[in-house]
Amino acid sequence: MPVDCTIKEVRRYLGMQKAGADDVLDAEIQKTISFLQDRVHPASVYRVFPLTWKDGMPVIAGYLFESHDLARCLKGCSKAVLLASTLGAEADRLIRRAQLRSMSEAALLQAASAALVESYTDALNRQILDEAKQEGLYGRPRYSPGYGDLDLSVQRIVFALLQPEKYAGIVLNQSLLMSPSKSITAIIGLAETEGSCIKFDCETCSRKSACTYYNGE
Amino acid sequence: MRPLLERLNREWLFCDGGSGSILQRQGLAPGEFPDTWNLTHPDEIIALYSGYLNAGCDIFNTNTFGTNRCHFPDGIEDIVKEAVRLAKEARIRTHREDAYIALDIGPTGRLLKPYGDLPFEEAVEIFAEVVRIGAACGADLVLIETMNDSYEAKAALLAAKENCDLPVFITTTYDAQGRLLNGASPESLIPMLESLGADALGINCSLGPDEMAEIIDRIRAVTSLPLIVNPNAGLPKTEGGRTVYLVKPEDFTVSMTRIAKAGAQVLGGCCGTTPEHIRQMIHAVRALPFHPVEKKHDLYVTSAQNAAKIGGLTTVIGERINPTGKKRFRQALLDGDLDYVIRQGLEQEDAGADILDVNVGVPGINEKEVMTSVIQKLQSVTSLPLQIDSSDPAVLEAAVRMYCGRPLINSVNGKQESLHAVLPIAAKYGAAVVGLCLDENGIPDSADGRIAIGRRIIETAAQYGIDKENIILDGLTLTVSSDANAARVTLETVRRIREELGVHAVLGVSNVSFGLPERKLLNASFLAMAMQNGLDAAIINPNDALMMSALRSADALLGNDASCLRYIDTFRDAAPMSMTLQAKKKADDAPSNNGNLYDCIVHGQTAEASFLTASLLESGNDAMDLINTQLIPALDEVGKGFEAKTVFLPQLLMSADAAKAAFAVIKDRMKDSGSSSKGTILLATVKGDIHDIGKNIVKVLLENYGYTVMDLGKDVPPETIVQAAVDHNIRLVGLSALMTTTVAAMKDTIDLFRKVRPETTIIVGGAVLTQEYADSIGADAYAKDAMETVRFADRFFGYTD
Repeated sequence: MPVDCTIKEVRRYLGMQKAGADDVLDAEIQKTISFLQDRVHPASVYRVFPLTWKDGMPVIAGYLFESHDLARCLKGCSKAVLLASTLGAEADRLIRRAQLRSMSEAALLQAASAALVESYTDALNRQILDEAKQEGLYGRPRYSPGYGDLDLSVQRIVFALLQPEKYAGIVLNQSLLMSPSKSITAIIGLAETEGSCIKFDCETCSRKSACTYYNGE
Repeated sequence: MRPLLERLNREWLFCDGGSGSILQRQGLAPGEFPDTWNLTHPDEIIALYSGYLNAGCDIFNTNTFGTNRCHFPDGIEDIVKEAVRLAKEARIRTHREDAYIALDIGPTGRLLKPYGDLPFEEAVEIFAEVVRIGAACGADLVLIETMNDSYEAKAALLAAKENCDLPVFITTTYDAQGRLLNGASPESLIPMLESLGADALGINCSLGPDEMAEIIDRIRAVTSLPLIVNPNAGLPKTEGGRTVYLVKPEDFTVSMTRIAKAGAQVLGGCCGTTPEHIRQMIHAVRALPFHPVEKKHDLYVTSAQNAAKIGGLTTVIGERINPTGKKRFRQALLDGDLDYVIRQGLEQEDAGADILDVNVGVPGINEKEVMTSVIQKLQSVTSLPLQIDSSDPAVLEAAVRMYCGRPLINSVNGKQESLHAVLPIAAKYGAAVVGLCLDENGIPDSADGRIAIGRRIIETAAQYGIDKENIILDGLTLTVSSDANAARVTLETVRRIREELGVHAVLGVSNVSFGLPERKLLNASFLAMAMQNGLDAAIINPNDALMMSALRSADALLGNDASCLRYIDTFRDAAPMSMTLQAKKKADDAPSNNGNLYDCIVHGQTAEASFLTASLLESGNDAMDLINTQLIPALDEVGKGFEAKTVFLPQLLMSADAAKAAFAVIKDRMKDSGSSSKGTILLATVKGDIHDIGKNIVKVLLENYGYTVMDLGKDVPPETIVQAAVDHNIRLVGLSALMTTTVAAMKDTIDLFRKVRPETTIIVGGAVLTQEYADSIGADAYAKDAMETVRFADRFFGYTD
């Protein structure tokens, strides 16, 4: 799967949603995106698991996920996809290397990497939904550990079930952070009916007022 | 039972196949570790083993792939013991007492430092524990498998070698491009595994036999060890949410037969393969004639990702990471400014170095500590292999032990003391070694004398089990101005090292020109002459364009550079040299530039800022004047713009980069007069947190604003931070954390400060932090971005207007 993203996305990760046009900077951003595209090796793994319910909370492959927000997102679903995706270790190395010489270059690489892994995961998400559709299932928006009241500790369950260490080269450290740093884990509900749930986006986030990346007005 | 090593490489040996899918069919739940079944489902495990023993395999794995402290913090002894006991039981039940029980060791699932949070020595100990238990209860060999990080592979291999006398096999997992997850290639990885003392090595998992073919060829081309091939039954496919492997036993057998014919000595399977795959494969392959592996003689010095082959194109060993005669470099080491040291490495990489020499020996520092830190930092940003350069064997050992790849040691010499201190280290850790042709009596005047010492080094190395292709002899360059014959003797020595002793030759070059004008010219000419005499590697300054030009030219002329490709690649876009020299002269003669430094900083023009600062200083401008009238006001304008949200992070950082470049020029010129600091601030990213770009941005800004920053790095335990603050009498500490999970470590750090050193002021920042959060963990201040930290520091140290 090729990896790409827009300049606008990178600008958001740079905290520049409200900045005016800047052709020079946009050219630098585009250069950074292309530079990364030539060097990174994204990888991913996903699997579909049975989804049951216990006291109104979702149970995926036998593991209880105690989260009202996730429960709302998975409402009506009978299966759940767990996914893990990453831009790979090279992106981290390039960012680290750049920091020694030019912090602005490092910041651009950092933002572009974040945007790239996000859009790579979007593409993977679309592929998963396409496959689900062929089996008559409809997907719900993806939801990640750490969002809302879904505690980051569920990362341990996601890792036990998916083994992203083996299949995508992502490992979890003792503080539940992932390496490579540009990695995403998420849960996508699959239901037999079309429909939506309350989408997790910036507007519904309790931390939006303090967030640099908030993309609303 | 015949000893395994008597059969290895003399006849076909066969491993077992997959286990996960077999156990899942019997009820192993997703996410459950199969290892616990040794205790809960002994019959199923015996059946698993028996299936493969009946299929005819010679080597079968204990069900201990995930058995280590990381996965089983409460202890692993029972699981390992049961795994081996059940294996013995299966062997008896199937009447296969000839089969070897392989203590199976898989990855920890954690990532080693500096990328992750698992210290190398802790990883070694985690594996050592498994090895000790498995060996004690009777495993016949250790099989380390599915390693997808070469650094972790090294830890496991070292643990096996240090904790048992069993044969050790190791297989790693490559992606379709032939890389491990940490970027290791067959050429970078295999020499490391081989030199660390593996008995057989190879590839397993991830790919099917056909996808592996090309990678197997590459491994075969570089290894002298028996080759193990344990593929999956094809690439994994997802079917109804389950991972399945679709290559049938018949097709698997066809592919494995092809691999066996091309040259492999140990064959088996991995995920998706079944006893039937293995049975059919054994039946077909056993009928084929067996060919042992061929010995190879190439020398590779490697990093995690790259391999530098000695021989062919002349190897450039960059000499700049060395404090000798470099005041600024010495000071950086004394100040702990390792970033400066690392930048010297990156510069040389850009200039064309193949290997970097690393020497950090200055009085007044802990050389072992600094050496290992520098290696770790270098290896996290450059993929060049390293040459570890120290006169202290203890430093050499610590360095080659934690190094990822196969290092080169600089150096051993003909003195008895040196031979018997350094060669055992090279032998144990598989390092290649530079041997200096000198001994207790000094440097012989004649080539005869130096060759005799070289021969002694080779012979002593052989006693330690080091093959001579792993030795690079240094014929020693002396100064031609003090002895007219000096260069001739060195050149003769180089020629005879190659012709008579048959080993590789290296020289440090620049000594030849001491005391003479236009040294670069002499150095470059001497280098070309040494290459004519067979020099394989040159320890030089790759930033010296004349030297590199001579090297590339001589490589082309001597036929080392096939089709002159490297020469063309180097000079294709180069301006004609005569013009370059003229242009330089013009620039030197140009009148002092009165361009606007202030604008350069504001617009983030780094190169211009650096150039302009140099020429302004040269034309007599006062450094402090430049700082106060141009640099600081420019930074202030940008900083205010950032606060007013008219300037954004990239522009702020571009200006910071430009200012930093200008300050670096000033610092270089003022190195003797000492510089004034507005105060010292300690920065650290807290324990458990591995994201430090935010902290580094704060650092750059603080430094530009005149502060001295003591940077402890990332993932720093509370005790270390507090101790550093005590030791250096720090008044202001900045802590950074990215996630809610690591803010806990931030609180621990603050709590410890309150207990041990309550007078310390602590300012915190990081993605999830807010003022309320900062208050709740007891911080004195919160900064939402780097500029706020600067403003706080100015208020704290009394620099507000």
